[in-house]
Amino acid sequence: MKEWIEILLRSFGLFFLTFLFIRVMGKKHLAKLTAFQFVNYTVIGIIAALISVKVVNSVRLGVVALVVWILLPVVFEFLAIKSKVIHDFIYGRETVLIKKGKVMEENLKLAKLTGEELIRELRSKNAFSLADVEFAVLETTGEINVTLKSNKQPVTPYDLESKVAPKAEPQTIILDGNILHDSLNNLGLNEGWLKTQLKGMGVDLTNVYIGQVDSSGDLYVDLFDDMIQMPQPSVKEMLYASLEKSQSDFTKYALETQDEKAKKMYAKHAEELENLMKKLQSYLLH
Amino acid sequence: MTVGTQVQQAIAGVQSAAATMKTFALETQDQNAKKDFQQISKDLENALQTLQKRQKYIESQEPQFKQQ
Repeated sequence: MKEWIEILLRSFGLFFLTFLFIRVMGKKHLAKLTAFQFVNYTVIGIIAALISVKVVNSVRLGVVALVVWILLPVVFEFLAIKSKVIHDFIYGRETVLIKKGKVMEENLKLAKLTGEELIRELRSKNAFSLADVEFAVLETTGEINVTLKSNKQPVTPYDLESKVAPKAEPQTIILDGNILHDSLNNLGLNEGWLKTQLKGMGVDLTNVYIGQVDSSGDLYVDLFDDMIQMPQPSVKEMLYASLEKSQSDFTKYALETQDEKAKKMYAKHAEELENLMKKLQSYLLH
Repeated sequence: MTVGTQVQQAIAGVQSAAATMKTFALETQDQNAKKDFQQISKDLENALQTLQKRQKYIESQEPQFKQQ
């Protein structure tokens, strides 16, 4: 066999083999690997490269080494899921660097981190002042995570004691002028609904680049033609304004009518609508 | 018809007008008109607050006018 054909075949075979094995090893973000996992991936890559360019002559021996380096981490990972002791043995444990606002110097020394590195990492987490930090921990991946003191944390609706409507993730239903039927069905909507919405906006499906529906059923579209101004979805604000109008109309009727019975009826409904509006305000506005 | 009722009627009228302006502002495609409608609805809401304050004052002065 000519040499170049052999290398071609080896490369092809190893490409798919490594691809398959890496898929078996699971989804992990490369930047979030522990030091050992990084070494592991590197070794797999190097072995595969050496076999494919025929530095390692025997394919059989090379693949044996490859399989060991791939199978062992899979086995260890499986054991790590089953047992906390093995998990800590393989991945190590996280190290607390700052506790109750105080830097733990011994732990810093154990983790071989200098003060400057710690401060740099804190800054990258937007904690520029050490006084703001309540707790910081060095994860096994080498990342440092930080919680700020409770009075320095960003304000949430909970802090403001304001009610907010629950919001689920929006679904993309149009991409590049094509309807994505799966996500449309997930929302419990169909093509007919979409066609009506687009018609209401005066837009053709082929002109839509991206179309998203949020959890309350509002459709937002981005068009290929950026010159066209699209109205923002405002169904909810509209509904609230109509409720407001009906409520004030009822109050007006209640004051104007001479009939005692009708007066009572109008007043009652006006009050009911007012209560309804109070309940719906956080859902329909903002 | 007492003053209290008249003020209340005025409040309901202004409230209705403000809500109508809000629907107009949301419905129109014309950006200028949208801004105008929004401004009017804001002005009306201010008027509404003033009227409501006045109503409270009247009610405190003349409790017999208070509507059931």
